[in-house]
Amino acid sequence: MTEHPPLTILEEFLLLALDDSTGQFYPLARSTFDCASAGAILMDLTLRRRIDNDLRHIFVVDAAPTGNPVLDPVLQPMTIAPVLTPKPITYWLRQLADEGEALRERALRQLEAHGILKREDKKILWMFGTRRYPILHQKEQREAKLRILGVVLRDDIPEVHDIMLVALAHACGLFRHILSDHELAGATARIEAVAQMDLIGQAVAKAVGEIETAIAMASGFR
Amino acid sequence: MQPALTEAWIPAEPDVMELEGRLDTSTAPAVEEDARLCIQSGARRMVLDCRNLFFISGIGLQTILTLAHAMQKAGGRLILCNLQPQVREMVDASGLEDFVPVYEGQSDAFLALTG
Repeated sequence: MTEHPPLTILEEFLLLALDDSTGQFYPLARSTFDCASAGAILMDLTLRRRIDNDLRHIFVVDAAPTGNPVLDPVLQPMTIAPVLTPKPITYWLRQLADEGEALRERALRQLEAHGILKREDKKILWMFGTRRYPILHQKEQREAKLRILGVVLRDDIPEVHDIMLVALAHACGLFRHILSDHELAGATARIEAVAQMDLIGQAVAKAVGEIETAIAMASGFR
Repeated sequence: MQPALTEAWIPAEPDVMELEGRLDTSTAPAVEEDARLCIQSGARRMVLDCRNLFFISGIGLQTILTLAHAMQKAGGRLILCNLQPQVREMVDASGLEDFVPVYEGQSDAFLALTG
């Protein structure tokens, strides 16, 4: 495996969402996955000090490219003059969620390039295509899991990067796959307190909640 | 023979850092550097006085959290006081107070750190 730069929030989120026993993502509604991927990108741009936010708006503070092939194509259109005025957090979440699959695809290619996972396409009954991402190098996934477990199972002041991951994992319900029922029951209050700390994470959780409500209503009306 | 001093020297009064204007992308690096220097020089009880801080952004909140984390790792405590309306609104919305204590005035903050 080659040396690679620190993983982005989106890359670590994808590793957390990947079931290492099957190489497939835990079941998430496509729109939930898109929204969380969009949130991860906004968090990454915040960590790189390209955007900042208040309670409602995101503003671009530095248009300089980050050098990251996943983030720069997102940042560039955000810096075009008509868009440069602050826009609601939900506006950018929706815009980027529309590209959710493409964002994940680019981030997964980065993880492949780093030698952390590989892509396997198979056909079942010669008809149905399935894609798996077996993890080749487990260190990165294990470290991300251990870090966020440490955050939610201890009372220390967490680091910003880990708060973002906890917020995304919480918004998508990933903790039920990572923790046992017993652990989850004991850690729920802490998870909620940590997740609340990130304002973009809050917007993701709200959007995911609305998506789930819409899905539940649509299935109820069938 | 006198026993060797093994504990870090802790000043009687907490260190106070007065934040002014805005705490956002443009000012956060300098605030973070100053506070880190204080921690490296042995400060273990620090008050961030926000009486003249009128705007804090998401990155400003992250900066305070990062400093509180660094202070905790060093075995100390960092607290806030004198929050102005916009800062109070951001602190409430983010639940920052669950991790970083907030006091009305500097004397309450001192009392919490020294009492």
